[in-house]
Amino acid sequence: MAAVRKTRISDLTMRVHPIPPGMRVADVADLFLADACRDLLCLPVVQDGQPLGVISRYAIMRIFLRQYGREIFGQRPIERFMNTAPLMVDIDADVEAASAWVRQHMVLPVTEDFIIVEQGHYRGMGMVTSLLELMEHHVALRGRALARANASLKASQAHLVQSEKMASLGQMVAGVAHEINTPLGYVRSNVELARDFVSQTSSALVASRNLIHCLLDERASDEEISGHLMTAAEETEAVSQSGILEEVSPLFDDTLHGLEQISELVVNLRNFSRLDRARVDHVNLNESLDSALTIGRNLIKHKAEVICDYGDLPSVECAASQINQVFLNILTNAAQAIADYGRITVRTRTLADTDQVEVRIRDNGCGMPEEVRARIFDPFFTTKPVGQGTGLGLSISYQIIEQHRGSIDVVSTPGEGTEFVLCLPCRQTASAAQNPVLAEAAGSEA
Amino acid sequence: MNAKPTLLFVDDEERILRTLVLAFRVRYRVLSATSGEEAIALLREHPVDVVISDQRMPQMTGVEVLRAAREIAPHAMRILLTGYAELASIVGSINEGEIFRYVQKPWRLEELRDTIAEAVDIVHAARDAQTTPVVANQARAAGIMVLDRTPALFDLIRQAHPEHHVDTADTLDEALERMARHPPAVLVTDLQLPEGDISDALRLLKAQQPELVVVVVTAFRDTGHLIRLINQAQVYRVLPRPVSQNMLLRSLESALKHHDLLRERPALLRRHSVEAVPEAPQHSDIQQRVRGYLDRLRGRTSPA
Repeated sequence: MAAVRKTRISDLTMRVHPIPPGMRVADVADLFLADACRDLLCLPVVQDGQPLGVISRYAIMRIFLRQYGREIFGQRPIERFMNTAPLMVDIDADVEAASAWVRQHMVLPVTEDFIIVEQGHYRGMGMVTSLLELMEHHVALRGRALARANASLKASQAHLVQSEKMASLGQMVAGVAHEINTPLGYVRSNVELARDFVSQTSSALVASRNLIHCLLDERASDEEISGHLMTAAEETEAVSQSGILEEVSPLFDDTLHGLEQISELVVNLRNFSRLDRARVDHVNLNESLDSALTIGRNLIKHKAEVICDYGDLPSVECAASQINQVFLNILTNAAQAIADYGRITVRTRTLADTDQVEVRIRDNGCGMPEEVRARIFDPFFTTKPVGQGTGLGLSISYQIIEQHRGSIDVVSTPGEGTEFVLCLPCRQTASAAQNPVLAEAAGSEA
Repeated sequence: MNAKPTLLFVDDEERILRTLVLAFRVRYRVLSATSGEEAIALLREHPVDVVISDQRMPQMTGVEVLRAAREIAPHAMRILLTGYAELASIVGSINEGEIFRYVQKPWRLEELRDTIAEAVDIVHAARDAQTTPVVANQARAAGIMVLDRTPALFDLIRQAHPEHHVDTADTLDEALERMARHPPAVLVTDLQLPEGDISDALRLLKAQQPELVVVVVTAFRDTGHLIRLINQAQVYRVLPRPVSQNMLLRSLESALKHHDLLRERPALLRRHSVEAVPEAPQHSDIQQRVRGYLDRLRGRTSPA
């Protein structure tokens, strides 16, 4: 390894003293025998600075190997035997271009090196092997750079997938928070009202009790009794005026309904994330769809009526939280495709004789033209305004379904709507080593 | 007028309406609507003092309901009661709904009662004021103060309003200094100034000087912040940067009209009353500066 890294053609230049075209063959042969020329494959023939050709050791050898070769040809000028179309490389040439050109034009076995010229003038000789070495070095450098670029690309892809996950998680959390907020609003208000009611009714109760005590007390005067009667009448009248008695029961019904709603959301949130379950599980996809619909309700309910037409499904072996993510992604896309208020239809069925389950999610939204439809699973492809979508949602969905050895297709007509058709096998048959769904699960649970 | 004041609640969740009706029907006459359309029909039929609407409803949003309410029943105070704090809806509620308060769900009954009681008081004070003679409007053209680091806004406004005294300043101190000399009708300001965020200063200014109409121009997009600007500074308009010229000039036009209205009917000023701000010790320097300005204003001989 040279201390100084060679990177340019000029670094390869060997200052070889050229020979004139009139030099005799025998003298050239003697030159090749000299120590100074020991490493040279050939000698340049130059006149007035212009390279005319090269004469190789090999060519001299061919002359001398003939019978009486030295005797017949030894005195003749070298120009008659030289290669008049030698490899020539400009000193300022790009190393890669030069080596490509040399490799393309060199003759095997390599018997000649190349001439280095500067604006047509002879500057020196360059060895083909050094050029190839230099090139190899370049390739190695580039390979390392490529490996680095590849690594950083992979990292940023993982980062993007992560940020897509975080974005959809954030959206989901915001939606669920809003869903919980409404029942929380009236539950809180009802409880505060109930507290007021209790304090009102309890003062009426106290007044009534005082009245009863007074009535039962033989020593009570008429004034005392009428005083207590007045107070009790006022207090109980205030209570019945407030309508508390009729309202208190529906008030508690509403409160319980609200709490029911909140618990339903919490249960669905837990089912959706499946944090408390094995990563790969046997699940009923109808239930998965229901939990995705609950989680996405905030986004969907103002945009569409949802019609579920569920078939009787066998359980499907899958990474349920991933499949839930796919369903939620497709459902929210469907809601976003609807401009005012439309319909989303969710159908499930078992495909006869295939041991596969099919899920169809159809909307009657804006649909999409073929050129969009063809690209929707491409990473980073999005029709949403900048900042609103990463363009990774469907690409990740596609990956998830593919890892489950399922299929995901889309049919769309502009103006009429879009239908996603997902098929998933009921069993992940392959061994863990070959199946990314199982493999990842094994890895994460090890 | 001894009848109970009338409230109108609008929410697509009936249980919310039920609890609100129950909470308020003793002191008020309470109307309720589960949709914007229904609310508008009620507004046309009944005199309403305060409209309290949810933002997120299927057909009509709360901002749309309140905008309609502004047209049909301009004297009614408007409150948005919602759990859905999306930037666009907040900006809409300021600019289109000209709302009095933004109350977030889940609400505290006590606070909601206070807010509604305050709104009702204001409506009644304003109604009484309409029967009193109009204060003679001084002919002096109202001034505009532009508080912004770049001169573009100032140049645009000066060209559009040559009849008004248009002044500009780079910093809050400079603006306060000049405002003490020429109290403006309208303050056009960015929220981010060299000395930092001036929301606190705006709150104090508006609390002390309710006839000052504030137009905020900002690239800032924090919903909680905007909600505080409504509730505690009663900003009149919020324009996102980059500002559209048309929108700015239109807003300015209506801000100037609004100021004239406020001066003609001082009782209306209460419509702009702001939430009491808990004293924030960390901003004491801003408070001091604003107080200094207000003292200087008071020190001036008031026009005879």
